[in-house]
Amino acid sequence: MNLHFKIGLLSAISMFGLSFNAYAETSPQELAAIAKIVSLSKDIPAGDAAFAVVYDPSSAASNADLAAIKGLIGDGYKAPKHMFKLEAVPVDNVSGSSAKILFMTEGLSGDAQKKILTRGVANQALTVTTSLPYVEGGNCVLGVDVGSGVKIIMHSESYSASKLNFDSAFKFMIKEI
Amino acid sequence: MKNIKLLAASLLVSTAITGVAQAQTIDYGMMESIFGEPVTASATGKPQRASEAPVSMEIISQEEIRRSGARDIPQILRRVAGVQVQRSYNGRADVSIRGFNKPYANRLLILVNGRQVLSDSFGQANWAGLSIGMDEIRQIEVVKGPNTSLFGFNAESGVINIITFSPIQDDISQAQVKVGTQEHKEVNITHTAQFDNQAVRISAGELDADGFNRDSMTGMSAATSTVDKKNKNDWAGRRVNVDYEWQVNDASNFRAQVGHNTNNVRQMIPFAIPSRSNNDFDFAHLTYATQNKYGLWNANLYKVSNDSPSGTTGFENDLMVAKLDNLFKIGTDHSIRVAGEYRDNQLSGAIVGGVDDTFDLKLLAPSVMWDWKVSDQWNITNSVRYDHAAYTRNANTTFGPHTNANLFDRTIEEFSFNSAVSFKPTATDTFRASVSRGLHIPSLIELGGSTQVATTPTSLGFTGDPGLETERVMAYELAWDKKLPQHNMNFRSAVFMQKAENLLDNKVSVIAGPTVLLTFDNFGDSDTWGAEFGFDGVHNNWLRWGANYTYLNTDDQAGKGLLYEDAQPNHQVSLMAGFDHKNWEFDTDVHYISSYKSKLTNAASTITVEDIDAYFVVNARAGYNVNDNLNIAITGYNLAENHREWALGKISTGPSGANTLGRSVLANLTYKF
Repeated sequence: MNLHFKIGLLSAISMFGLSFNAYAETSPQELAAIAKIVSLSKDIPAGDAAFAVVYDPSSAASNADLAAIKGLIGDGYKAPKHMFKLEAVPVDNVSGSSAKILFMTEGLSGDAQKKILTRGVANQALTVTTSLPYVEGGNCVLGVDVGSGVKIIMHSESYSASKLNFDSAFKFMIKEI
Repeated sequence: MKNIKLLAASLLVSTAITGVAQAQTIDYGMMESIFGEPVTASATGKPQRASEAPVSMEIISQEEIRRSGARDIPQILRRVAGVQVQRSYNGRADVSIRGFNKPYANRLLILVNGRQVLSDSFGQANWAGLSIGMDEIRQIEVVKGPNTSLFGFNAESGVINIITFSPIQDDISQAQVKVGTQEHKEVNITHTAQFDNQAVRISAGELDADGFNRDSMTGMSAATSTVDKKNKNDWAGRRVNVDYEWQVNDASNFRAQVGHNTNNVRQMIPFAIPSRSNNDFDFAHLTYATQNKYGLWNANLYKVSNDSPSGTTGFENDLMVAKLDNLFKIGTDHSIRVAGEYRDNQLSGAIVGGVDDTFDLKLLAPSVMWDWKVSDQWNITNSVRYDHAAYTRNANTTFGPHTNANLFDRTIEEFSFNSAVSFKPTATDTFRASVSRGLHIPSLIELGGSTQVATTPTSLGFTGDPGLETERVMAYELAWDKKLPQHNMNFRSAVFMQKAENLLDNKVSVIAGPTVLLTFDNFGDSDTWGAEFGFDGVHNNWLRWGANYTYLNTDDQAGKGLLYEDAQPNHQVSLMAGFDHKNWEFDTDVHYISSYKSKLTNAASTITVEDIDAYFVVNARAGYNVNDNLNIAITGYNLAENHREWALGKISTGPSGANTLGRSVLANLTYKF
């Protein structure tokens, strides 16, 4: 392995690393928070639950987030009341998903977000993301961001349209917009 | 009875129109794990994250209680900045927040799951009278400053709301044995049985120990010659508590709690007079919570009985409280809580004149709270409550200067409020400015007591004064909380000013007979300002630590002999640390309290003062986890020095003794099953 090849390889790894880290993929803490929040909803029956990660195959950020969540969930993720089973759903196929949890990955376009929310409303499914602008834009019900603190926001109209029922005490403790 | 019917009707209506939402009571454990911090409803009545509460409050967790090895709740409260704990005996302490502590302190409201547990006869907390065990406590919420507008008239200086574990959500089952110095013997057992949507937790305990430290007793010879050891020294109690919870459906939750406690505790009553007090406490508490399209409803109905068969000062106090509140949102930014409270509080027995005499308080109090989230950075909270209290006595008294029953038929009307503005300029900084008006409506004994305690060698009487005015406090506070995540550390600070008027205190006078009369009076006004600073954190993921400092400065206005400006410590420092090493647990807390004066009634039946020297209190615990179920521990209390925290008075009858507090050591074995 000559020097130039090594440098090139390191550069590639470095670039990949930089580009990989440039996306705010879902963290273990965020998935744990989502798992607990889901247990506060009566709309998702306890037990095995399909956790549909909706992604855009053409978006690097979306693919990276999908990969991160795959790594976290693996063969199954034990939530307080559920066992999450991951389903990777391309955004163009979301209308056929029967999952009650639709997770919106990073890097989705506005149209893609709307398409997912439309499915969530039709199927009384929870749309959730770690990308808060989706919620602020009215295209997702619930946003969870765990950084130096825990930020949880809920889009009130989307929540009502999706006919979801969350623990009332929880709703007093989050930001509704 | 009419009010109970109204409450029942409200419950039925609420039940009938439910059906849209999820469980109602706060799942404290789940919420804490989601938000990464404790949650509370004690600040405004609205469930919220502790960091967003518009008041200065601190939350003590079960793990902190367990690791402290605290024998009782006052011991753990000593760790909180702004809280004054003054212990008179091993089993007895008086607690205040931000000053104005006194024997039988009654300016602080103590609740267990929202139920008042203090004796409403005088409004003082009998800590040994709780029917719950320390292991049942999920968290202790300490609200500093007046919160009368939310909780009522004893919340003048603050509120301590003890939240127990939910039988449905938390499976707590363990047995515990403690033995140690001062002949301490204690056993506690707690068991939770969970079924599909119902659960019950039963706990019981028994304790027998000396109220004094034998090695450090002084001045006891005269007393011990006339009073047997058991009467002199005991700190004993027996308790049982049953907590049943039923998740009726996704929208409704029902909880029924009943308990009994009987205890004998050596304590210091008003006038700083030492006394052995026997008390029975019984309670029944029904809670129903539900949600419908009109919001979150909470109904509470409870009865607390306190029977104290103590001869000429014996009494029976029956308190019944019915509360209904509705919390709802308008839009996304406004939360409104509308509440109503009715209480019927009856005091009977020798202390009000005789076994057939009763002094009764009926109180009606509507209140409203409005919480407005103006923006991500700004929040405004306002609450107001109106209290209408009507007192009646059933017969003329035969003793004291106020014999005509009509003198006791009076009405007190007062309002209280809390207003706070919170500003969060960054994710780690919170600033608060608040103003509040708190009340202490005179207690039934302060208003209506009437008993001749002794006739020889001198005539001695104990009476209330039906003309007493309500004690009022205006409080102003600026606070700054900062998280320092890079250092795994939190900082809290507050400066405050309290202007108290019509302060109620003890008075000794002589009336015709002659009789020495122990009574109460409004002594005038007093201003206190102070500051609290505190840090806590975890160093290098192993050392948990905390440090705080409290400064108090009181200025009594010209009046009739107030002594608060000298009677509270100016400086108070607390240091806490704990760490684990393999299966070992080590914890300690150290407290410094500067000197102050203690007011007492002397043998000549006049009120005087004694100096209390500055003192250190050092507690330490070492525990060893034998396995996941078995823990053994040894805990030392007050290891630094023998000291006094109150001066004890002596009246012309009865024994007195010194209250020097000495070292204690307990061995503790806990088995979880």
